[in-house]
Amino acid sequence: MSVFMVKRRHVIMGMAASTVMPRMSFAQGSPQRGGTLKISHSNRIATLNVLTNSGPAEYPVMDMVYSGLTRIGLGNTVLADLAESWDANEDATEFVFNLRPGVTFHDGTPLTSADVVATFEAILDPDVPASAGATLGMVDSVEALDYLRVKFTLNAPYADLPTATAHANARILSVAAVTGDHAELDTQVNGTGPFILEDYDSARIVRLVRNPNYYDPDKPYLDAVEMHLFPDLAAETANFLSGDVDVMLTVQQADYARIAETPGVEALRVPSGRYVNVVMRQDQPPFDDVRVRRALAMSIDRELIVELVLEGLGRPAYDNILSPEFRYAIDTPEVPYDPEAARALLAEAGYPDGIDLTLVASNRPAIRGQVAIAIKQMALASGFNIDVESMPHDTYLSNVWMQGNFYMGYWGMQPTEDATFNLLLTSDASYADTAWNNAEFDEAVAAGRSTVDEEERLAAYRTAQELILRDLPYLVPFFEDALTASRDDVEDWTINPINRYFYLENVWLDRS
Amino acid sequence: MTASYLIRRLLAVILVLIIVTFAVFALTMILPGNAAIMILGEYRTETSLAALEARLGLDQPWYIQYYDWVSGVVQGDFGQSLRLSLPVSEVVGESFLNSASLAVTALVSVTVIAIPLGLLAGLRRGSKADLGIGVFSYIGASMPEFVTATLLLVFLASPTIGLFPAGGFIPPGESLTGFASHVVLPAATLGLILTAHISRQVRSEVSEVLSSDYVRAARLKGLRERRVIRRHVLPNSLAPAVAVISLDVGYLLGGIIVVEEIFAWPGLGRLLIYALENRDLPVIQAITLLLATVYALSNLISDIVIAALDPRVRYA
Repeated sequence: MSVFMVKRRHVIMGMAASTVMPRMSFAQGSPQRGGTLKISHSNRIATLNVLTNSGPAEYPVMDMVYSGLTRIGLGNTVLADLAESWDANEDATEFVFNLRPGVTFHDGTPLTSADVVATFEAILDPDVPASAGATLGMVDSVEALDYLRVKFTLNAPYADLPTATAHANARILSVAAVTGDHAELDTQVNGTGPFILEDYDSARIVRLVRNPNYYDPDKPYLDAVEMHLFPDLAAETANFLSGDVDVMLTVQQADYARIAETPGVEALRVPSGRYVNVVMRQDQPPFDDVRVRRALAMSIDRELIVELVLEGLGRPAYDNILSPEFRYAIDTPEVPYDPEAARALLAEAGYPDGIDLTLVASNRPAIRGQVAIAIKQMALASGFNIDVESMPHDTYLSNVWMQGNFYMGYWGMQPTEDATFNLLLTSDASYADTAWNNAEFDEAVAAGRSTVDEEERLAAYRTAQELILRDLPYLVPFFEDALTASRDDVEDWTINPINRYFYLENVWLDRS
Repeated sequence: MTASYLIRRLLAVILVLIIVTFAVFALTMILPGNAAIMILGEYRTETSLAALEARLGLDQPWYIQYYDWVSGVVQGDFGQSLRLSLPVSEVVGESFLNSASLAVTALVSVTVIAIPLGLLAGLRRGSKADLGIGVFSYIGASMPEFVTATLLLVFLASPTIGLFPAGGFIPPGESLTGFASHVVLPAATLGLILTAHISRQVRSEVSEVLSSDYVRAARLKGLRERRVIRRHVLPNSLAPAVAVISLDVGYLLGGIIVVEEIFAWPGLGRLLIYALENRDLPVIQAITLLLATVYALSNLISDIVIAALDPRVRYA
């Protein structure tokens, strides 16, 4: 990537220019047209409302039927989508997006700047349920300059705006859809994406057909895509292995080795920044003492936990919530598993006889409880007597999340450093559940977001990460790989580490 | 049996339904969390939660929510699923058909298997066949569904054996053989306890009838044994079994929830668990109402059947 340019404007324009998708597979020959791709999944597609959807199988459908202003590519680059280019002022407080001419919605109405303005105004409206609102909080106003140009004015400098506009819940709706009854968004779709919704049955199948008027005239290659819901994992795996479906959207760690060994099938393992984190509130004892947090950090055997919980399909992490995929991630030093030193540190913090704690783990997904139990066992040697309390997800969400002082979190990868920090760790973060409130850290994150100078950003984000490692607001034991699988004749199927973008317009079937 | 008796029974059924739905509603309201919290998950903010609760009607006080629900139901409108953005009637209706296809398969096969087994055991009391059927019944009756289901899965559906699929569902309209292969294991799990139950019932009735005076009289009359069994033993010992089967519908409704979850059968039980996990109150309420109605009506019908079969039973 040509990101190490010094001129600010050039950096931004350079990102806009990188619209060509990196081709991942080693497919022979040129893409062929036609065919129906069957994708299996085991989570219901409960809604098609792109403003609020959050289901793992809902994202690929949204990625097929809608387009965003921008989109995230593999390797966390920003791609042009409905905006073919954009430009920012010197201090990154004003952005102008130039829309692609000639784009139409599935119902034939042309895309104009009015649609973009209406969509973002809805997302920013506190009375509209919209998941992207928190990420776009820096946007002050959105206005149409002309038919195809939209100007965003920010209340603070924000160099990553084109990444923020790529948010999976910020895809462009038509003015009619935004001003109409939002309940209709649950079941109806009028997008500009490469596929058109044909049939929506949340209990069994969602079928999408090729959009002949997609803005890239060569794509998509497939005639149709079908999302088949399998009510359980065993049935899903069996159907995939028997050849009834072409792609298994998500492969469980326990099934990965078996699927990878099966002939005729390609298993794909994508390193991702997804993690389970131990949340420790710092405004109350015992976690107000960094020595207690550090002692617990030294009580976790990271290599072993990757083997135990992930079947080896992940990488040990050492409490930095930025995985190595992030552009500004630092080389995080390993935290050795050392129960002796941990016990000594715990004694120093005032717990010479050990400490009794209750660690809450929601039952959804099961990985939270698995990590909690592994930590309980590992930390026993250092004097941590941890009682793991498993609870239903609804009780957890209402009574523990954002309130408890010791519980298991589980987060997907965010597209940028800034999005990651502002989600969880800055004082005004959307979900600041550790009460860290570190002014120095806030300053570093603000410095990183308000400049487009590479050196300055590198320095600011280095400082931020060093502060995280010094104060340990979270324990992050590993990064989980994203796992998927496809049959051999499916070409260019891939997933983004963020698990929100799927690029199905590039997928084709090699059945010659 | 009089008309006033029937009317009183029906009114009682309606009262039961009101109490049951109110109790389920109240319990769900008392539990922490709601559908909006579940939909937003860990991307919830104060404003997004307030907006979604307003859209779903969850910001209203509980009595308004219950009143709205009841007044809808009275007009035949079960509302909109909070999680699935579909009419409740559609979601629940489809699952009900799937559950019914499983329950009917189980009931029919139980009837076909259990009655001959019970007859055989009753007619040959003390024989090896009777002993075998007895042991089978006691084992069947004492094993909970999740144990039976696991054993069936291990012995008949493990990857190396693979006689039957481990789970899933194919609509009969799509492929009858596909439906049949998927229905075997869940139906067998549900059927095992019922088979044990009903065959024991038939056996004891048969042996009671065999030692009755009228059977002795028939034999003394010089009737052939076959005719004695066909004309006198069978009708008199099967009538109670019919009542037992209709009572077992209640058991079946409970069992189906466990069995559907294990075998990934997309029926009412599985939908109920999904709705509970997601706090989808209109769906929970509709399923509760449906299950309670089926249960209450099957009890009522069994009372009527017993009264009709046995003239000595009279209800005032």
